[in-house]
Amino acid sequence: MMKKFLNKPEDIMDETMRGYAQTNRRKLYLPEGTHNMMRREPKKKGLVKLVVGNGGGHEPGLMGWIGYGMYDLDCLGNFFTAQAGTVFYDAIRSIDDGSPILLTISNHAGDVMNGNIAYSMCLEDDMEIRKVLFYDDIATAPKGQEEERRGGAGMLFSIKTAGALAERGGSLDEVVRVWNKARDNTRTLSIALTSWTHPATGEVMASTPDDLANIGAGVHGEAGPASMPFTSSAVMIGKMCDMLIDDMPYNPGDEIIVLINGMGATSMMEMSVVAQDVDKHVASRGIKVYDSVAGNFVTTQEMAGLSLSFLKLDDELKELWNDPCSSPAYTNR
Amino acid sequence: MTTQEIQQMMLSVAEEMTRHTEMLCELDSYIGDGDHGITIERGFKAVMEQIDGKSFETPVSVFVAAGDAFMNTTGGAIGPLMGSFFRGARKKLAEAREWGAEEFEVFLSSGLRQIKLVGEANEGDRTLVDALSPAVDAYSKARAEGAALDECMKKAADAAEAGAQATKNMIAKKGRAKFLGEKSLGYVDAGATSMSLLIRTMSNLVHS
Repeated sequence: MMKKFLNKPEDIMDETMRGYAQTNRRKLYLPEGTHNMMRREPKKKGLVKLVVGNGGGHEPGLMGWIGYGMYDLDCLGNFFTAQAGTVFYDAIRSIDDGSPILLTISNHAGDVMNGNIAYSMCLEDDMEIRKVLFYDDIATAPKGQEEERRGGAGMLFSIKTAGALAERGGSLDEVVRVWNKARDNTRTLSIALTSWTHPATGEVMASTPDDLANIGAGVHGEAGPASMPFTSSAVMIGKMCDMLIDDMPYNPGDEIIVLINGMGATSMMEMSVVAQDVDKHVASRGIKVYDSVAGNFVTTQEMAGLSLSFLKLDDELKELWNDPCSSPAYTNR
Repeated sequence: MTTQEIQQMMLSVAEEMTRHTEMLCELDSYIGDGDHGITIERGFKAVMEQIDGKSFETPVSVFVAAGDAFMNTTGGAIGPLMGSFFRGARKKLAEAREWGAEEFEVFLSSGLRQIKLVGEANEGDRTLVDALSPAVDAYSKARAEGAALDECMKKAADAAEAGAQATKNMIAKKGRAKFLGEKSLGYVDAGATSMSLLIRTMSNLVHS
């Protein structure tokens, strides 16, 4: 039996968004009757605005990264369902003050189709807008087909660095360049240990046998392409680190930022255990960790598991990473 | 069929499409996230609200309104796909006042073309194209042989059902299921099933 704090299934996303806006009322603003989460204090006119449309159910998800130096708008659909392109377009127009717009899309079929619809509608209005994709999940397409890969939590790296440049007054072209550079330097891999329950149907999704860990489970907990025996953190995380390092590849002497993204039911205690395993393992491969972030950002309901993302730094990305930002889920002062 | 008859048909089709929620969710749960039926129900409820009691000039404007309503309320991948299916013939049939076998063929084939364009999907990718494409072929063949509208639609519905069943043996190349590779074998695609249901329901309601 599903035991979740819920009211009517059809109200879940409305209530989720209203509640998230209310618990972050000094940072976020949600116009009543919409799914358009935006900054409480809009960005200065003329600076590039970063917008995204996606599905709910991953709270905080990309809503958590709205704020100074980060996103300006996240237009959400229903759970695990991208918002309609036409509605996303209306959302973009609602914050349009003539500033350039960067429309960002995490590479998932629904997000891409609806993002393309919104983008082409904005182009018809002669808006100054560009579209960028994000893809980082190495489990979803082989090396050499990076553009086929899905977007994962490593998107934080592109949002943070491109968002910082936008706040500095970077041009739309420059913000696009930095977004793409951070994306191309990012690799992500996920691991799921348990199942999750769909809040509307009550169905148990993506069950993983007790003795296995599901590698590459993805953000909806889909059965991953590979599984490994469930064992110690050091062994499982070590293997994931190797897969990430070899895919990029990250070379001895490289400096990286590590993101440990909890899927919902993995405790901060466990994420801390994982963090020191990551540090130890990448050090053994000659790679230096410059900064780390751990927390529940892009989640899959109450699934236990996490995704691990690396960003390879250069001077420009490091500087932009260090710029201040302020959002409900990630703040740098 | 007149505009009013098409409107009545679309209402009944939409109502019928809201009655398979559980079955479609179950199909989706094997390799998807198990909510396809809910999305279909939500979309077609919106279609009913959008066209019930309204007055339309042409048959195609009924379908365009249905497509807009479906697309705007569902999003995801299915929204743009179903939406473009219904809207596909909006230019070609803009002037047609009554629809017979010829107009329905244009409607189905234009819908297929739009879906393939928007979804960048082809036959064999294990999507709703695999139900719709054989349906269009069967329809055209029947019509070339001189069959009337209801007979053409019946052939199309049979072919759509066979096509949806055949997705069992296809490895997904689109959508979330594509990341499963061979694990997607053995299950019927939920989107293709919805499409075959839709065509079957229409075939039960058209008349020459």
